[in-house]
Amino acid sequence: MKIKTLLIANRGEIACRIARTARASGITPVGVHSQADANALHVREIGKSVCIGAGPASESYLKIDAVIAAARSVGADAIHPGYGFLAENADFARAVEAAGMIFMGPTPETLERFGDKASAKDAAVAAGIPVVSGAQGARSNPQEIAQEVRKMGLPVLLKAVGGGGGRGQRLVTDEATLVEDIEGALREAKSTFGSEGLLLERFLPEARHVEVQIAGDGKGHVVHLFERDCTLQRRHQKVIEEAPAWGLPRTLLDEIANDAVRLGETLNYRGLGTVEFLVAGDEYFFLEVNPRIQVEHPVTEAITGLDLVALHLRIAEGAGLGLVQGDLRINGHAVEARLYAEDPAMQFAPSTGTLTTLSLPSGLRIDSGVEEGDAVTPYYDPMIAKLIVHAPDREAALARLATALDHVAVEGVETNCAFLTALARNPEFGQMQVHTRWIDGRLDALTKPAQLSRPERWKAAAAILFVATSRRDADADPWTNRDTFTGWRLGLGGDAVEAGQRVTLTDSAGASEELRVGPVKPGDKYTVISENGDATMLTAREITPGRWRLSEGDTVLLIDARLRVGVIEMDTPEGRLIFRPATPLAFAGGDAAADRAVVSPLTGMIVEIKVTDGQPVAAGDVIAVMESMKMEISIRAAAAGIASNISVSNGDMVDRGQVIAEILPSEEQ
Amino acid sequence: MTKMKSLLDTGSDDFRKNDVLYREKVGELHALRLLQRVGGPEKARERHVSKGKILPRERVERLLDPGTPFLEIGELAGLNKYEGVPPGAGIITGIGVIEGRQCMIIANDATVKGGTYFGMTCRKHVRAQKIAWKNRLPVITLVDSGGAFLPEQASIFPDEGQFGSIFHQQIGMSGDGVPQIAVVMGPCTAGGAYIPALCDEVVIVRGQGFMYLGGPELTFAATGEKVDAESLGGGKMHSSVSGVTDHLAEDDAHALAITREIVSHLGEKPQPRKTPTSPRPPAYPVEEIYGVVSRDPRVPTDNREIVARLVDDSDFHEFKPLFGDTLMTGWGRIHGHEVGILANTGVLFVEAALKATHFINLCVQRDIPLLFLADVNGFMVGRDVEQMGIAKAGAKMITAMSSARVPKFTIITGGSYGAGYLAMLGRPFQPDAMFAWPTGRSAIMGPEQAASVLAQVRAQINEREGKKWTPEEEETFKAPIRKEYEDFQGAYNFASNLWIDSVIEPAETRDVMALMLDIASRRPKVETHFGVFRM
Repeated sequence: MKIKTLLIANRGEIACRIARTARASGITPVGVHSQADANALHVREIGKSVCIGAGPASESYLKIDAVIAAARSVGADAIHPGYGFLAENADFARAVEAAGMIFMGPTPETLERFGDKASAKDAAVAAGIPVVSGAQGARSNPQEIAQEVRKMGLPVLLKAVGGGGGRGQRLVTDEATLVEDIEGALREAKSTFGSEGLLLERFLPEARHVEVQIAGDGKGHVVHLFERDCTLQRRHQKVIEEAPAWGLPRTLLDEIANDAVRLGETLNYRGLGTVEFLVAGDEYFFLEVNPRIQVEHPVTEAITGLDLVALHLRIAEGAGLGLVQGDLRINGHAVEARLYAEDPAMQFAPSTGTLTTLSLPSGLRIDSGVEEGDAVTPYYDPMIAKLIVHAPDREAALARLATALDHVAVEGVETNCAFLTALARNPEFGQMQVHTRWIDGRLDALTKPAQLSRPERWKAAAAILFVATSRRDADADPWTNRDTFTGWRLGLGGDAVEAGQRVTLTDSAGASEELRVGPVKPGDKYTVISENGDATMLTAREITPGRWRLSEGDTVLLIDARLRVGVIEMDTPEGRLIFRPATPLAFAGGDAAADRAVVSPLTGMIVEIKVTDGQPVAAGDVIAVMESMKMEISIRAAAAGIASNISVSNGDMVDRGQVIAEILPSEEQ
Repeated sequence: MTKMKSLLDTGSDDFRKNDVLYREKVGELHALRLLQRVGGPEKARERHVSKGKILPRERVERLLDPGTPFLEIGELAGLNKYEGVPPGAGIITGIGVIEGRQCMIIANDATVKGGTYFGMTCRKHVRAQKIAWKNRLPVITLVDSGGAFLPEQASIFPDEGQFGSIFHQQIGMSGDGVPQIAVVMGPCTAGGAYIPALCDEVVIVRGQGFMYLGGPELTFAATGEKVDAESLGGGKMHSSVSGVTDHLAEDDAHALAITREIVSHLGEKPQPRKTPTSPRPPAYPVEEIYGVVSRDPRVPTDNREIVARLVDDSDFHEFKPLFGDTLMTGWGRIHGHEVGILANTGVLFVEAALKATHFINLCVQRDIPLLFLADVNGFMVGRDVEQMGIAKAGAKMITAMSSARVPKFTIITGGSYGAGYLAMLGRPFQPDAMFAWPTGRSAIMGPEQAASVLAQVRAQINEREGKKWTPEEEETFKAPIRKEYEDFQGAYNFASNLWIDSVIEPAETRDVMALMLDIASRRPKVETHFGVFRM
């Protein structure tokens, strides 16, 4: 059956990405959105979208009836759930099918089987796939769990039955905290996943995460699209993913892939799925199955040249896989990094706000669900974009990724960009000397900010750009002409530098400095003097619009500059840098010496004193109320401080301009 | 489109010698300018800064839009006139851009004798006002002055063009709708208090700016009233009680920020009336002018070569090239701004004067600004020219030049003497701006000529008295006269006395002219009414 209208029951980058393929396949995509997402990129990009409820996901993207109703209202014949939200919800899949539409995913039964870790593990065992040793089945009695754990020996991983994607896992390494850990894990399992069941697993300390992408037609034909390596994880959250897995013998990988295919075949798997494994030495163990499209699917697309969403649409339409295992080849190496709005300084807590700047590099695949000016809200996953590079080999791919990350500029929220960059350049990762807990052990080193070779040079360059580009090239109006008249003064000869133009620049870290930019010399030479008097001599010339050639001594550097009101963005060979310029006057302005005297504005009678001597007050607080001209007038403090020297009392007559009290600076001021 | 062809041999010995000498002179200019830029003595500057005040030049820089040019006027006024006063006479005046609008900025330099007014300080302040008035530039005055320098009374107090003229001009300008803003950044006592009081809007710095007709000491002496400076004339008092000031600032930077805001609310900015073309550099390097200007006053400079290095692309449409060839007239562009140029190429003859009259008439008709490049010994003398009516012809040229109400500018590039100085738009004819190159010189006549004329007079007296003098005696008589004229005629003497607005480098002449022409193009057109031409 040919799909005509596809409802995408998701948001963000994956909704945009599905819509693109749908459109290219001649299918009309329709989106859904919450009230908080009314102006979100996926709504703008899909073009047609139905509002399904309030901001919190539980009131919109997770509401099965609302999604079904939306699909009905637009006459959709299929629903793609994307990942997350309802993607693995068997009830949803059932509801979609009951409504006479195609559910773009496995059957409800398959979802149920893989939604439960214990039954998933059972399925794997049944298919003859090695699993991590542990207690059979889920348990919820703490004493029983503790007993099992002691029998297995530490370390042991406690996994919530309903968990996944790294959530709901707790590692027990110490006998002393065992009971506490078990109780915590049970509590968390209940509150987060609604089920108290825990799985107990032997913990493999230095394993790699390798997963196999499979696709099945639902009639028993299953192929694998090779593996992905997602070993780089921070607290079980994938950070950087790649394909193929590097440094592992192909025979082992083939074995793993064949196991994954076999598992799919035993279940007549339908649609896309990922079978996850842990690899330790030459052993591998089944972890779980993700019965949906994965965040990291683009790396597989890169190395296979396939469009996974298109393949899935084909399967959903009943047209089969259209390919056999023998058609598939690995081409090169692909790496994906997930750029998140999260604050490394705050244990990677989501960072919300408006993306005042979002500038992403070109020349690579970027899947993004936001644009500059969009907001990162607290309701949803704070992913900004996925950066996917594809190169002939891994070394080249990682180098390209690092360079691309250098050229990312985000403002308005904190991001993990520097962290990703550090990873991309990390030599141990380069040699794949990593395991799934590798990041957690060296987080401090990986989140240290990168050092620029000569920060003052870039600051000077920004100051020059600000001065130069506020002016126009070869303008006939000499007051705005850049070539001849930037900072023009009657000459002093030679290289004498005058006071120059003052520019105050604030860098991304919030540090401000006032710089002086000397006048232009023939040949576009500028001298920039820092606050401590150090001079930086730079030649700056705009060679094509927005592209500048800078030179300092013998060093020539090309940068791309973007200037907006209040922002200078420079894409330099050392990365993307952002400065906020302000003329010093913008900072001026005094709240410092606001008036300390509290003065009666009219002649009249004090009717109420609102403060007592020594009482702290804020600016604007009422100090006294007076009656004058038949009005009650509040006399307020102009400054914050301590109310002092109150010289009037109730019933006193005061003159216009009479000082009735003083606000003395408090000690902190 | 006529591109001028230079015949200059830049490899010649002559060129090289001229060049070396000229660069020395430009070096002198830079040294003088540097003295002026520094301001008062180091101790005074340190004291100024230690009070939390911003140095005057930095105040100006902070007031301007970043990256914009600033054209200083009268920077060498008062040069060598007052003991301990660097060139500039303790005041900075110039045209700059604030919030996108061209303004005249006048800033007292309190580090020079407390920012007091000398004779030349008054004249320079008045001159800046005149330029502002004529071009309708808002005037921003940064007041930080101890008032009149009392020992200089005669050149400050009684006459027109002195301190009192500042007020008279303020009122006249205001009547013509020219905005005026004062920023009181230091004390201004007595007469000084009227400068801000006569402005449209006044900013005052708390605890730093004071305005009173009589300070606390004088008040006590006069009336016995004991009063502190703040309640007598402080910023808070004036902004909240007397209403003498409008905006209270916490410090210099804050005051300047408020001032910029005020300028941003002066209404619609004046736009140029002219459409300049894209600026192009001259086809020949401007710096070659250094080798062109003759180092020997007896050897004339080829001023055609100079014009070729001042106009865009060396493109010059000459008017009447074959007639009156001792004066070159024609049109060119400087940084895209069209200008009618008159440049001396010899002594002024009848034909040259008639051609000048015709040319000025055309420029007025076409509303094109005039630029006089003065390098002339004067009008021709002798029976032939007198009988041809050179007095009539000269009168016509002077009438045309004097009557013309298009923007007009003068640059003394070489020697400009006698009636030639006047006819080539001398200072008495009120050019919009007048500059001299370091080689510029001007007097009633040249030093040698003056010495000879006076020696001749002396010789006639000697003859009547039956006395004779030896050539040695004659030389002893001539030498001091020559020296006096040499000293008088120099560009720096003219600049010191504000007979010109600035000494400028030949190489920066195009820039200065571009700024001036742009300013002039933003003011309304004024109709010219020519005086009677003697026919």
